[in-house]
Amino acid sequence: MDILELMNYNYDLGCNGKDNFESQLGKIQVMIAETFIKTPHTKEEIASFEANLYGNSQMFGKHAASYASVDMVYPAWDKLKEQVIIKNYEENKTK
Amino acid sequence: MKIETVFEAIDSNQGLSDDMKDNFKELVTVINRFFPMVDLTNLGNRMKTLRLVSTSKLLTKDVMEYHPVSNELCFNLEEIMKNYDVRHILMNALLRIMTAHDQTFGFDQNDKLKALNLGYTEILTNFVIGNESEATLFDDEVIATNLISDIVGHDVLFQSYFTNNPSMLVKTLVDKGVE
Repeated sequence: MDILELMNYNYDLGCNGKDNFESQLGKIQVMIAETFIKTPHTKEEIASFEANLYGNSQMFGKHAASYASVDMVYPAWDKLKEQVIIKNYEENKTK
Repeated sequence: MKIETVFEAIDSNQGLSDDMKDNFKELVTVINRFFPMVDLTNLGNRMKTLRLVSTSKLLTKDVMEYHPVSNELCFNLEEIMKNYDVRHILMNALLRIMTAHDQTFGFDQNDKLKALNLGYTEILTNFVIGNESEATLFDDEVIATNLISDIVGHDVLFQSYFTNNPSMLVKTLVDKGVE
């Protein structure tokens, strides 16, 4: 379980370095997004996921120095979201 | 266990000050109001003998840690001076005490779900009591856990957490494609 292991590793880094550690959050978010797109989702679920992803930008600002890897998240998500299989797509198309 | 019995357990703990007893009782009332279906037996049993311990950052890396085996709630004195919302910290602690098992709490087992467990505990804490301080806890873990809840569903996290059942959560994670 790479995501969970990286989350644990990142937590341990934070414990030892507190505010000065280089957070792995960006990598973790991309890994979660890659997992998210493996299963079909409704448009609402995709919007909710994206809002959660984008809604955290205030926290990035607050701890900006810690989040060197965050720049990778939004471009990665922009590509990944094109691959999500939309649940009920066929149904919507016939309406 | 009824909430009144938990109050009696808190009152019977001679190691807690009257103020601390009042704080705990108020917070237990809040938890019970939000999650009336969650059993309070573990919490009540542990509150009878809970010990509060002040430690240094060498022993307690976070602002607070709960040790289920010794039933000790340890506070990192240096960290807690950083303007935290103490009610928030105590609520986070109560959730840990409530779901404590073996050497951990919630859905964690052998530290494999440690960060996810901490993130989810903090999400629950924010949900039931909020945070009146700018000093926040487990920011990265909260962000990641929020996203993971979009994959596995909040119900699975909730059930796994309050029934100490990591296998339910792990199965769902695997089913959803977590490798």
